[in-house]
Amino acid sequence: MAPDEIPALFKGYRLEKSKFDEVFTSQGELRKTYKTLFRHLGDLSVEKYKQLNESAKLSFLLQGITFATYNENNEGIERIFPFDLLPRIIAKEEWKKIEAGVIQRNHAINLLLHDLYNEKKILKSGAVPADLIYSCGNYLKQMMDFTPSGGIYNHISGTDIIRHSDGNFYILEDNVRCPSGVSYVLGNRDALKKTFSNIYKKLHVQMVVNYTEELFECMKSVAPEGIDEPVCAILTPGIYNAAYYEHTFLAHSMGVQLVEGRDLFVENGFLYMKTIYGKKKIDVLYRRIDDEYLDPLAFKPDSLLGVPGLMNVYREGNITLLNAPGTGVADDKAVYIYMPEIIRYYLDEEPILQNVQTYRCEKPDDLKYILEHTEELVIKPVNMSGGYGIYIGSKATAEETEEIRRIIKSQPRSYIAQPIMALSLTSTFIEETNSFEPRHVDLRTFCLMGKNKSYVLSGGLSRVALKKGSLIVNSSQGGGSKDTWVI
Amino acid sequence: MLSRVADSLYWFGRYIERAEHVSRFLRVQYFSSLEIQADRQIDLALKSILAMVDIEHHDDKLLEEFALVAVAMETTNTSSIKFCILNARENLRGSRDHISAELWQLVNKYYRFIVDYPEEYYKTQGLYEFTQKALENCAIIKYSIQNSVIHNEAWALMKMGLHLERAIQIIRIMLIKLQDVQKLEESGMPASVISYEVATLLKSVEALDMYKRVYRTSPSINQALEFLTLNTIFSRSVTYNMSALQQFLLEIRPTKIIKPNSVTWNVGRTTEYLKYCTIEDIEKRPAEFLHKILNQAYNFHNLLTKEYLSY
Repeated sequence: MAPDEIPALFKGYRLEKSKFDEVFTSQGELRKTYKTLFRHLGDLSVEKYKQLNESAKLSFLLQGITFATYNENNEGIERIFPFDLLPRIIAKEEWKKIEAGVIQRNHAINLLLHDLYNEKKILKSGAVPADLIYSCGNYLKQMMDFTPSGGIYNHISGTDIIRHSDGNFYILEDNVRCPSGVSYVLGNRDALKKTFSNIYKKLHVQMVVNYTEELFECMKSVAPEGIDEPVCAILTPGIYNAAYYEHTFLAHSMGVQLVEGRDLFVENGFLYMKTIYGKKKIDVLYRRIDDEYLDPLAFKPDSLLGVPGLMNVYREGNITLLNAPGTGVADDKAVYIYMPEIIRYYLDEEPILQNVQTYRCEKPDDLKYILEHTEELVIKPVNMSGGYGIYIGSKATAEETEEIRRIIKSQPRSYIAQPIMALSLTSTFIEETNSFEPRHVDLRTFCLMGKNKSYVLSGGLSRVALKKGSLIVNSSQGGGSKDTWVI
Repeated sequence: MLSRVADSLYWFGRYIERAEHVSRFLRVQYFSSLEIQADRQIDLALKSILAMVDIEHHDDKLLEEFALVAVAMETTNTSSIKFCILNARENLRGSRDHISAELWQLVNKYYRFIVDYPEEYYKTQGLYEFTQKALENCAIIKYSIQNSVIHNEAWALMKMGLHLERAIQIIRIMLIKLQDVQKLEESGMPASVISYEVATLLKSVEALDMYKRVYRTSPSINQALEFLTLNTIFSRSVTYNMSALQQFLLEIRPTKIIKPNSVTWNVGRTTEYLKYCTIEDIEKRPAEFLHKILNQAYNFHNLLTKEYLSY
């Protein structure tokens, strides 16, 4: 497509040549994957685009695809997750590599978890330092010498991937506790299908709508031994949880009960829910609450969200929990450093997707480097998610830099550092300027691991940092999302 | 079905029905009082409106603005329209996996309408529009309950909430208007004014037209009480709604045996009693009769909660 064929909407788009733009080449030409879509956009005016965008937003609001902020008032201010209509497109060939890399990674993580909670061979071999694991707060003694039904720990994973300025994809972090966001993928797709139905059909975009069916199959495949028709349920913290929409969406789509801790009780080694006709046994529970709240008898004694005695039921093999408790040890950002080695150790393969160069504050040489190059690095807490607690050297003030130096010196195990990666950019409609502008984007992929089957949702959730120049894409930090088309 | 979810669905039904009755009562009472340009009549209407949401007001000069806001938009009041819709939605949010996406969207739409409606505009010009839209939304939601949800326990629980709440609200409206009619009679108002007040009662439960088809005469208080309490084929009578509640309880009962003193047993007894009552049983002490049935209805709620909804 010649420059004069670029739609009116993109006239004036300011290309950042030093970074990888997902839509345009460094010469300002449209990338091949976007050509058909842009031809379709043609002479769409800014006003018409805004109208389409508004109508999609209204549809989200009415469907309740929202997250609520109850700290503002007790009625709960409901907001939609900011959403951009222009999809991010990934070519099928590139996707194949991502898919294979994500499956490889999560397969290795599952073997790691089994090993760490049983024989601990990898620690004995020295491939992963034992003190790193033993000092991890998410390594649970309650999981020792136990193998979950089906042998799977990380049934549902959210692997975050970025594209660097060299055009290659890298794994930024693993999320194997309760990764969220999949309902937005399906919601975004629904909105895009309605808005760009013609083009969607022409491009043969890979489907995402089968995710909930795959999840249900995954849940059933890991049911306790001897259960042919397992009763499955989703455990939610309740309606005030920010991801409650997703919990209801998943339960509704799979036709399973959405339960809260107060609906459940343990009796004679089994987990039951309280129904209008008395108790009913549950066999598989996809829990969307953190480990520490699962069972007040095993973890936080004041937790009201979980079920007293649940861990006993679990260890007796009378219920399967998705994901298994204690998976957080594998997504610790300091353990992440060893993932390439972990893949080689268990699978005897080279990693398909590379890690971002990462320094452990705990290692004296690394710490020295970090303290000398603080302004060139991103420093992250090892066990937090949602983009919280992140220090970005290039954006920080001198006081913030001094403060982070002090913190990492006093708590070196709790932090890692990475070079500031130039996340790729994608054209995003910015309401304040009524125009498309480049914004940083990452990709959260969703991988399911059942007893004998792995599945990766095609595309995943492209998360966009809506603030100009920002590298933080999390919704809790002002990020938005885009549908991701694999074609 | 989870007891907690059952409780949420039942309360969703109750709140939607309550919002409808409060909206209609507010609209009918307020605009009917404008017909008769007498301060006393307007004051009576405003006090009735407040009584509908359980607010007693003893001041001689009742502020119209206070009454209108308290009934429609005051969220501390558990019967105001806004409170009902916020809570209907909260309850449905907790049981969304049992209902259709269409029903959820309609409730969301109603919620947005209520939350976004400007209070100042409502107080000065928007009363008719606000109550009209509130009623339309209730009707659409009830249509969706009937037609977009499978007729299983979830549906039965919503319907039980609707029917019990409707029976309760109709009795309360009769009690409020009965008092108004008595006050007008005591103050020597002409028969036409009394009849107008009874017509207002019938309009408040959307029953005037059907009343005319049955009685073919000007509204009288005894006939109105008979129609709204004992008619078995009019969906806005107490007996009809008790009977519907009984049917839903029979549908969801776990066994065929009806245990004495259970909710099904109690509702059955009251329903059968009402079916064989006549106006002669009511007219001597109508308020006493209505209070007795109202207390039984409150007791049905307690029994239903104990047997099915406790968690």
